[in-house]
Amino acid sequence: MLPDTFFQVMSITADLVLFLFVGHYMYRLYNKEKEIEKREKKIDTEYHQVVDDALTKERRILEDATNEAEQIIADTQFVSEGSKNEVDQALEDMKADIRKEVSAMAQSYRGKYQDSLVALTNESLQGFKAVSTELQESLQKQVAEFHKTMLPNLEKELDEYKQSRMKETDQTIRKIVQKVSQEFLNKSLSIDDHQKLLVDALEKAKREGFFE
Amino acid sequence: MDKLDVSYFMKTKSQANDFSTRLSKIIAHLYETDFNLEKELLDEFGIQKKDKIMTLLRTNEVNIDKVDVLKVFLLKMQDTIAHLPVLDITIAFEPKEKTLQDMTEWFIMNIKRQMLLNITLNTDIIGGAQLGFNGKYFDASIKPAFEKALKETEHPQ
Repeated sequence: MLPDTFFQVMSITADLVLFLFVGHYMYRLYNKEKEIEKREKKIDTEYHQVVDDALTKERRILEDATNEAEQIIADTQFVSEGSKNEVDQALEDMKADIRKEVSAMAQSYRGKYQDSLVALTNESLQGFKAVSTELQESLQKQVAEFHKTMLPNLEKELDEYKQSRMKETDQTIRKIVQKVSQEFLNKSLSIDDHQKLLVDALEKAKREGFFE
Repeated sequence: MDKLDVSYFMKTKSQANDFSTRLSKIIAHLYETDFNLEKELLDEFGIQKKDKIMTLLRTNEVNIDKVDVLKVFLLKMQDTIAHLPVLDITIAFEPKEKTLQDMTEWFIMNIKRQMLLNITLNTDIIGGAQLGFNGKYFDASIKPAFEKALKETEHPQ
């Protein structure tokens, strides 16, 4: 009976020790967890603080930059407007000057051109008059020469040609008249007439001694 | 043999040439074994001329059975034709057979010999005839008289 009790005591003791050990361990684990949570919370707080600071700084920088940019733009616009007006004015002035100058130059050139044109016209006219006179004289000379030498010959040749053509025409007409008359007379004779004329021709030839 | 009268067979020079050519053909057949004179004459000249030639043979007492005699006679005919005088004659109308016959007869009657006519047609002479014979020329046409009349009309005196 003793050993059983012993063992029972021993077992209860061991269970107790184990329970205590596990309890102690659990308690330590709990403390560690609490500590970690605390540290996490701290880190988180610090992080948020840093972020908030950074954001605040960023916002401030942006605001400063914006203000500065707006100032620059305002200044620039002012300068640009002024410059534009000045340039416009200068261009207008230049334009007016150029227009004036061009007009003066054109006037000058027109005058010079007209003068040159008048001079050239006068020169050409004189040249043309000279050529015309020369041509007229040459033509008069040729006409006179033609009247003196060629015309009589031409008239003579023309007359001869006319005579020759008239003669040819006469001959042609004569031939036609003769041919037509011969044909007409020939056709108007009957076969008997022809035969009679043939016998007459033979008789005449015989009388003339043609067959001897 | 007397002089042959061949005037019936030909009036013109071209007829004479044709006749003579046909005679030559007959002469060439004379010595053939189946030679038949009447048949040959009939073939070449027709019945009328054949009869006339047969009459001429009889008149001239030619023995047609003797080929040599016949040949001499036919050659004589050709010779007579070759020696017939030729008259170049220009007339103004197309002559009919009767005209040719009349002219041939006129020559036999008036000149006492046969003439072969070498005829040319020319209406320009109007009527009558222009003749050429033995190198001579004779104008018995109306043309000279017509030209004279025409000239007188053109240049009246």
